[in-house]
Amino acid sequence: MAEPASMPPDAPSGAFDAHHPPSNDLINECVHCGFCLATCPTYAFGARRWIRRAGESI
Amino acid sequence: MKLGLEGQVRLDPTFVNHMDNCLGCMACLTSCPSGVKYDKLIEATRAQIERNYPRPVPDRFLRRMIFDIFPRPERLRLLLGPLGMYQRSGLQSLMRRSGLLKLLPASLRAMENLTPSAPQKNKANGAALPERVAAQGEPRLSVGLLLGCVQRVFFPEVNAATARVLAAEGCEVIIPRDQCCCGALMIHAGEEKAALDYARRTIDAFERAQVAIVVSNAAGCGSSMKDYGYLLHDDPKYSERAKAFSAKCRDISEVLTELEPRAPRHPIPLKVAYHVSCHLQHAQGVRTQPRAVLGQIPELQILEAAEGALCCGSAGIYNLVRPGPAQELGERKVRHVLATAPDIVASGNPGCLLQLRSGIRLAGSQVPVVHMVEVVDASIRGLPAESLLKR
Repeated sequence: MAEPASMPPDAPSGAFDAHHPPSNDLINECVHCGFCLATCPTYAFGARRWIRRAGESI
Repeated sequence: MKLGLEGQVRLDPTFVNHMDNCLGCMACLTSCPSGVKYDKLIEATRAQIERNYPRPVPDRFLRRMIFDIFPRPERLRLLLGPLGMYQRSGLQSLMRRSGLLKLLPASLRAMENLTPSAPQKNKANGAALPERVAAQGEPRLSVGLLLGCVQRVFFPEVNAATARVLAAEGCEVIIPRDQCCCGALMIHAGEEKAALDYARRTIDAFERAQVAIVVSNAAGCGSSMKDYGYLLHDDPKYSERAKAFSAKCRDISEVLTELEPRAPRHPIPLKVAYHVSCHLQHAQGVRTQPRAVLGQIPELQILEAAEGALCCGSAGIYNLVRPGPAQELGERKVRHVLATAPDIVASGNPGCLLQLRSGIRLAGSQVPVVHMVEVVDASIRGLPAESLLKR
């Protein structure tokens, strides 16, 4: 697994460009307890129904 | 996001769709025991999407329109004339009754539903507020007031009430003429460059005003301004200034709790359902203050609706770009709020006010929705409770 911390600062990270990609350190704080899902409106009420078909727009 | 960093997924429609589905309500920040800073993650990811993902043309057009109009009060104000004519000529009620609206694309229909009644010219207008409102009695604090873009155009009476309440509490209120949009809508939607330009200009304007604190009565704006220190951390010219600015920012409910009340509160014998906006309770961690401020008003009964931590569906531009889910959430919120049988509904963010008003009207109810500070204002001025019911 690539460790963005060890990358040169201007290298793109995977799908993202080099300008402030989401921080791997912040992501790694997550312990996958799932508490967020219980309060997330998207997950709680609509995860499946709200997903738009790929490419579908307004 | 992790898979994105590892290069296992691309910024494709599936990925973008998941990120678009997030309301940015930050309820997860409140519930996360590990303190994951999801706000920073989603904002960074959305900025990546807007830079690197070509959205379909209608999406791009809608977003462009939103970002060209909403952060520019002078443009937003131009809509008021036609909007007033549309509403007062009876065309609006005709459109709504006849079902012609159903022919519009969902986003435009959502916009039509959300538009508030165009403020009458004779109402106290935000633009007409003087640059300086003197404190009543011994001045205790010099306060800069952010007018907000949507707030100053659609809810000038909220800004007028905020200035009156602050002055009555002994604050000298400075309202910089050259203040612009704070950039909140853009920050939350990934339009990073425009957002940071607005942030820098906001810092400039309030630095010139030399105020001790900067007050916002729009939770979305306040939450972004408190984040400037982080957003501009690698801007050599602004990083320190942004940090200092963010440290000065307060929501109106925070200021009113921090200051020992000086102006006497007159009774308001009403039942109010208070909805804490997400950007107050989740993003800013301001949960108890608005109720504490309302609690100082004699005879005002504060009601608790079920699922208080749940978003009303407004969520910045979410109710315009994802009208279906936004309306579902709005209906749910309104159902809970109306179940408490309130005389009025109060909140602390223009987006929530618009969403709640529209939802309550669609539910066939006429309960008025006001900003929390308008209730405080009415109490300090000793206005009759009926003045709040005529909104």
